[in-house]
Amino acid sequence: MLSIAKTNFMDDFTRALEITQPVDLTVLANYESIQLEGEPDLIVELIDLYADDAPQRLGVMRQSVAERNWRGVKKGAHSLRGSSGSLGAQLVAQRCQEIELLTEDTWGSIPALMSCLEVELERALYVLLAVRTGRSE
Amino acid sequence: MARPPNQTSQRVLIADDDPVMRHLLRSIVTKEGYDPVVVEDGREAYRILQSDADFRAGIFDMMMPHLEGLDIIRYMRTEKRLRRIPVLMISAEQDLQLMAKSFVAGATVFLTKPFNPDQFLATLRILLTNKTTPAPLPPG
Repeated sequence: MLSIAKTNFMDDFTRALEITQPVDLTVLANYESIQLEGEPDLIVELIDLYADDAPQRLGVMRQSVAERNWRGVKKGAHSLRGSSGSLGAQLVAQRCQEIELLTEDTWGSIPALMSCLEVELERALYVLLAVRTGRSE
Repeated sequence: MARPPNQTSQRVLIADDDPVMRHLLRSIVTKEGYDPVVVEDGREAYRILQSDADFRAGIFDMMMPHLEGLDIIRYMRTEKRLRRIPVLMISAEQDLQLMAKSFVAGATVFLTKPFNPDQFLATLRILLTNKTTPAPLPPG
């Protein structure tokens, strides 16, 4: 019983550690298999697209918050969640999902959630751009 | 000039407002040997389909600006020349009701994001070897 409990604890602990990583690099690694020979590095291209697009989407969300356009905020979060998940930016995706799940009663949380989202996006971009630099060298 | 239906077409229409996903889908479809035609939103996809039925399959994101994936599929199922084109619907929502809505509208397969290339490839192969024509919309 004790060994099972210890194993479960280690599994949960390991999972918790994994979830704190801003980027799941195995997601990116999976894309190696679809690299077309002779074509530009797909992973670098995907990171470039995300690095350009994600901050813009965040900016639109900030604007929507300022205008109290809650539908716009949720739509923005939904879009950003999709692209973030595709690049393994799991914490960004999680923050986006939390924003999508907000209701009229819980909209007071939006400033805090937006701040968390901005931090997570910055962390994810830091890791992704480091990966990009490593692949470009 | 209008392009009629073509059972041996190698063209695949892809519509997604996410540039990362568009690039990814384009790469996978190309690697599989098909010719992707990629647009940024549902309105563009609709505009193309109005005069072009020369597609082997369609891959649409469910939530897009202007016109959603479901709306495009419903349009396709009302047009005889587009009816035989199988469609893969992609969504970030793991929602059974949404999935059911997609199939009722006429989608052939449904895939939730995020997915890895192997999952997408398996689904794409099902889509492209699908020999059954989606059922037309019921009357009324």
